[in-house]
Amino acid sequence: MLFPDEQQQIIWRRELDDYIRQVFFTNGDEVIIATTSSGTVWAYAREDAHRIFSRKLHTGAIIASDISQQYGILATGGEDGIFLMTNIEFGDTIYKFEEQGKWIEHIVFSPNGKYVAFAFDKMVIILNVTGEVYDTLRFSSNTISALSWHNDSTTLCIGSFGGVHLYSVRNKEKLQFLALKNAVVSLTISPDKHYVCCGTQDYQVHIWPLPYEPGSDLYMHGFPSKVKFLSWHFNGFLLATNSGKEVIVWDFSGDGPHNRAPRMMEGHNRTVKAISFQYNDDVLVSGDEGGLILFFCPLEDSVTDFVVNVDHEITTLMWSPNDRYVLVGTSVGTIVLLKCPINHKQGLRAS
Amino acid sequence: MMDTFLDERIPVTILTGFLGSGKTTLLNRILTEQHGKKIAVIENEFGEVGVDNELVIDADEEIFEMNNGCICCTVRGDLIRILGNLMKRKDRLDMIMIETTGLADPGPVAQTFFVDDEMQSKYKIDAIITLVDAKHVLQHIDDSDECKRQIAFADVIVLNKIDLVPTLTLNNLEKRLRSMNSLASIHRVKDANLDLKYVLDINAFDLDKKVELNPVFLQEELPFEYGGIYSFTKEQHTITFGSGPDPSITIAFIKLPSSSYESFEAAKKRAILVFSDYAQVHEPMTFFTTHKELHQFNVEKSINQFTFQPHDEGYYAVFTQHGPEEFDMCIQYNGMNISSIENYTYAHSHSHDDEVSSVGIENEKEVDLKKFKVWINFMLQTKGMDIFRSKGILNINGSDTRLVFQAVHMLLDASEDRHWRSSEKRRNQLVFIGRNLNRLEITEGFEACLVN
Repeated sequence: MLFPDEQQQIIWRRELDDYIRQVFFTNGDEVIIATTSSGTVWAYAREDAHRIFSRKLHTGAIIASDISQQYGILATGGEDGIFLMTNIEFGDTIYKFEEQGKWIEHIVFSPNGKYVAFAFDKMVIILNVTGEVYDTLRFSSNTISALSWHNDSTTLCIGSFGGVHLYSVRNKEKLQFLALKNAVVSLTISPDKHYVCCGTQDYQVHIWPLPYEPGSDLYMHGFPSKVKFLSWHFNGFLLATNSGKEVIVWDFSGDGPHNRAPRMMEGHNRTVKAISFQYNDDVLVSGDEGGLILFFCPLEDSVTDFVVNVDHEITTLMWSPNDRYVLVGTSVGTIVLLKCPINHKQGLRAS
Repeated sequence: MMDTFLDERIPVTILTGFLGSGKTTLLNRILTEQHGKKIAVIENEFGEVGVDNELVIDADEEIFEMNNGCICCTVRGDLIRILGNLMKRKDRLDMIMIETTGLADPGPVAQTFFVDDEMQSKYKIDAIITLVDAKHVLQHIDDSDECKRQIAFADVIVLNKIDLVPTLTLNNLEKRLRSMNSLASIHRVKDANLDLKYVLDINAFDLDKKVELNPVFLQEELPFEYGGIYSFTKEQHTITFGSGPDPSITIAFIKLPSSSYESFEAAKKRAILVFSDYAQVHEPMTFFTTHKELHQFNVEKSINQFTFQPHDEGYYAVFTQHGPEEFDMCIQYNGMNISSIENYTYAHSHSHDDEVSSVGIENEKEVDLKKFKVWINFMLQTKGMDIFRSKGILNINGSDTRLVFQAVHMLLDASEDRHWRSSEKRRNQLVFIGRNLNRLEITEGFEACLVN
């Protein structure tokens, strides 16, 4: 079924016989990368969707992946226990790490693209873009369940059951341990470095204001599902979270979200599976289990009516660096390139 | 209610069993048999699984208490992570097997599928299979809480290595397992060799599936395990026993006016009283008559024969303290075996005092749903630590639809099921399996929920 404006928003659509784990823009926004559960990486031209390459990098599923936009490097980790850093353009391997019987479950490049951290079991390894090991962290007593960099690329947050470690990559030192008697399932640090937030195994969001004073923690209860997706508005005032069939936006401006009612963004009729704020603007995109993609402007009173349906479970969403496009991946291998329907800075819909 | 026919969730089989019980042997059998299924295996002890094209994942045992601090709501964090990744693939898995360590409590594994939204939406527990080493289990069962829990949680108990144990011991062991868990089906096997139809795709956790209580288990507790109707002449007969699990067996002979069920039932009531009386004690090779109804036979030899003369010709109800097969009991006249006309078996109340047991309730009255909700929630919240599993079908007052429920510890899942069929009796069937269960309290609690 097509919704109003839907046809105008879909630029192109490709079908792979695979499960799309993550999608990325690279080379500015000219090339599109998709990593999949078959262990294959696909590259397409953003302009006309022609296939640039497909490379089978892992024998099992790719579980985690990320790219360094700045240096054109793709990092992938999989069920085969292999972590790979690959030059996207030429396909040559920059670094390979293998730990048989382990899954490489978390990979994140620092926002400046210079470092990549990956985790398996209780260990985190940090590399620089040339593939040299910069640091190896073994202080977590539980399996690492989340990794997140701060925007300044100097601080790495490491989540597991029991809490979050803050680590200074620049100084190679532990900064703080934020204890939590729960399992961390998602993790982020606010752009202004005032808050560390995580989703927990039993359907809460836990917040540590920084600098942390014991007892100053904030808890948000009542979610109908685990909060696995956290996305900050670029100014750091708003945090979007999934919540069953809704997207909830919390106001962190001023004294923070305490005693403030969040904004409930309705419109999905299936469980929300991905959310993402633009890099430099106000639009929030979300996708659900049924394939519905909604665009919201949380700073406005009304919810947008821009809706696109790609029919299959959304597994990943990614904005282009210039915020003009949204790349969508699904559980049946659909890759869709959408045009952002709102040019919010101009207060106009993009034509 | 989830429609069973549209349920596309991946079935998960949880394989438990004490160390050396044969879990890995069964797992290998499952993986190598030509069933055409794509199975992922998650294990947290190193087994000898060496099967091509199968996914074997080594998992650390990470058990999390949920934030409410209730130990009844523990989950397996490693499982959630692994299963979360396994659901993200195009080539759908047909089945997942979770092999737990020999010392694992299956509770947190099962609870994971109750308390996690993603696990609930993508996976369903098919069954908990517990392997029991028939030769060695008695060494653990009294001292090991994990061993008891593994038996209590089971939907299927695979009684393995039966070739190493005499039949009598097996019979006793099976009775003991049955008294601990009345819901499970029990299969006797050698080398974990069991038809996979009893292990895979059995939907034991499906709320839509009828609660299949052992009919013996639902009966009242009696001082005898067996009753049979025999026809005796007034001549001398012999009764012979092998060496049984106990040094003696007590038997009541009660004359019947006819061989009808009604007269047998009346005799059964009398037998309950008779068993509370003193028995006449007999040594082997002695003679007795049935004027006295209750007799105790000392049977410590390998063959123990007694001669008796019925005080009258006709039908007799014979009630035996233990199952006659346990003692190889044989009644003969003129050297010919006399078979019973009817046989009835009963739950035994005497043999073991296991702290893990089952309580079953069955009746045809209507349930007040409001009262039941209050009662079951209160009971599971206050006793959930000790109630490992519970399951039931309810006949709700004013409803044409069955209400089905099941719980793992205090985590309750209930839903309306199908309509009652015109051909079936509307009745309540409930079973609770756990530690130190108070049968009277549970039964009275449920009866207070019935419509007067």
